[in-house]
Amino acid sequence: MTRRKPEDEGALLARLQAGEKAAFEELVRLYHGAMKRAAGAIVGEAQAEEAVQEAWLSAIRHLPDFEGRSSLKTWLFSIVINEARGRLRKARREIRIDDPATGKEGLFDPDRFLEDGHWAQAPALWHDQSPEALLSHEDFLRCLEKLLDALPEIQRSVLTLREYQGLEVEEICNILPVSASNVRVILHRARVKVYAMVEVYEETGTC
Amino acid sequence: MLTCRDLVQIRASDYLDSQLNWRQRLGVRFHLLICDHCRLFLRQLRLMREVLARRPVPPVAEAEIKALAGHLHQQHQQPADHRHK
Repeated sequence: MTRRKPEDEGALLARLQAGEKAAFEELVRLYHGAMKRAAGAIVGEAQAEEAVQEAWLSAIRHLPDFEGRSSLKTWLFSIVINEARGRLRKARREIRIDDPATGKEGLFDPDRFLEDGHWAQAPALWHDQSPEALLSHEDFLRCLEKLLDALPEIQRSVLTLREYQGLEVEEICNILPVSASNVRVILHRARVKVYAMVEVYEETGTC
Repeated sequence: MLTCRDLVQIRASDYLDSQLNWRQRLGVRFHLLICDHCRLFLRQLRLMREVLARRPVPPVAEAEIKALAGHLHQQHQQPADHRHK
């Protein structure tokens, strides 16, 4: 996501409130994709578009009163998250949770550890040691997207809300119909899967 | 005492998300002091989280941006009681 300096934001807000058309384009260009991702994580991809459209209209209605106490980005995300949460509740859509409290799915292969609990096959040092380095490989990005698409929906949702949106565990269980302890289990399993994919990618260059 | 397996399979995420009580946290920290492998695992788990935080969003078509921005601009210009509810 594009990161903006606060002084740029102040100027953009002033231009928006003055009704400058180009400022609206800039705002949409900056945040529309990220807002869709946030809505998709809550209400599902199919309903995300509608939720974001409604969130934009709500933001524009309240724009004259927005005083810039939070960043524009934070403000827009709180609107889209609320909108998506409202839709999720109205639809009473069930999110499938595959018994997150039991089973071993999504944990590291038990053979990675000796009987006494030490590593049998220790983690290898990755060649790429910064997010920029990893994200600079197009084939890595393809592997990552493929893996995220293949995750169970609830794992993808929780992972997106925690890692991409930066929400706390407690905030996530207020949005999705999942208890805090299940959010923790789901989150760990999703992370382990991504870690395992990165490990294979770093070792072989593929996934 | 906490084993590598317990740290990786059970505690790692809760440690990163500040979900452990002080005794559990201390157990993880003590283990990390003496275990290079788990230290590396946790460092790379943090790196992976940063990757997810910076994952690029798919590009939005220019036509879609212009159409939506145009509509929002129009809504903004209208008096409050004429706006789309």
